[in-house]
Amino acid sequence: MTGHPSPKDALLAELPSLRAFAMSLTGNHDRADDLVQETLMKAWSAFASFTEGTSLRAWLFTIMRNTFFSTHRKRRREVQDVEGMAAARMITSPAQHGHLDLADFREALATLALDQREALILVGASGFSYEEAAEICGCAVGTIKSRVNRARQRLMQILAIESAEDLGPDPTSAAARDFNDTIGGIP
Amino acid sequence: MVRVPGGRPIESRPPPTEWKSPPMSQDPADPKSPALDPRIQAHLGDQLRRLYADMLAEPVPDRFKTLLDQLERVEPPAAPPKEGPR
Repeated sequence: MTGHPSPKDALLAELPSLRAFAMSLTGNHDRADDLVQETLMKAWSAFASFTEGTSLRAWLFTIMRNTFFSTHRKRRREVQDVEGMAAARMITSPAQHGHLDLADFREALATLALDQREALILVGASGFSYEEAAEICGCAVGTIKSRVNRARQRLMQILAIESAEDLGPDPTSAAARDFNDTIGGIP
Repeated sequence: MVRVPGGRPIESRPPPTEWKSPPMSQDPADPKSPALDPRIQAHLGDQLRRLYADMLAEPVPDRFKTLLDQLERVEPPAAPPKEGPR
């Protein structure tokens, strides 16, 4: 990180990431934006406790996650799941029409247990290391690894992928290889 | 082929006790999860990143900029300590 952007600018720069993570947690635009707003307000008043030189994004994600779970725990599990699935359909953006594959994937992701989905997204999409993800979730690194692994197994089941041959020719293999370096390295 | 009305073919399914679901490991050190084919991992990872990139690309509503403007005016930010005091 170079220079010292004002807290406002620093937070503004993280907004897309905050919203994406909030969407991943809530599966619903309105609830996601409420969660972002609450997170921003908490972050603002706690900004003095942010250690410069560490990851602002990780710090904000931790706040968001804690905020989310403190309200989310009150809800019953079945309600979450049904909501999550319904919400998954709402996430569809116009840009994705014609990407049947991706629509299936989105629905499958929404049916994952929350802790698995969260771990998968932190490590596989948000670019955090396993160590950072563990810190954000307040659990052991091994727990994150095992959640990510179970998330992938579950996705395979839902998407009925039994072998790599089921995938067909994949035009995005370069990106996929790249990604594999990130998420594929679980021993 | 003999069909029993309302019944199931008798020999085609193993006794239910055979069907043990794999234990949901709570032990992070448990090495038992089977490794995924790297190509499948890559495929899942690619899908996940595309989905996430979509979310990142969404325009940020003005309400958040407005909120931060207000916060800056009303409650000037407490600066983080320049050096860790520890």
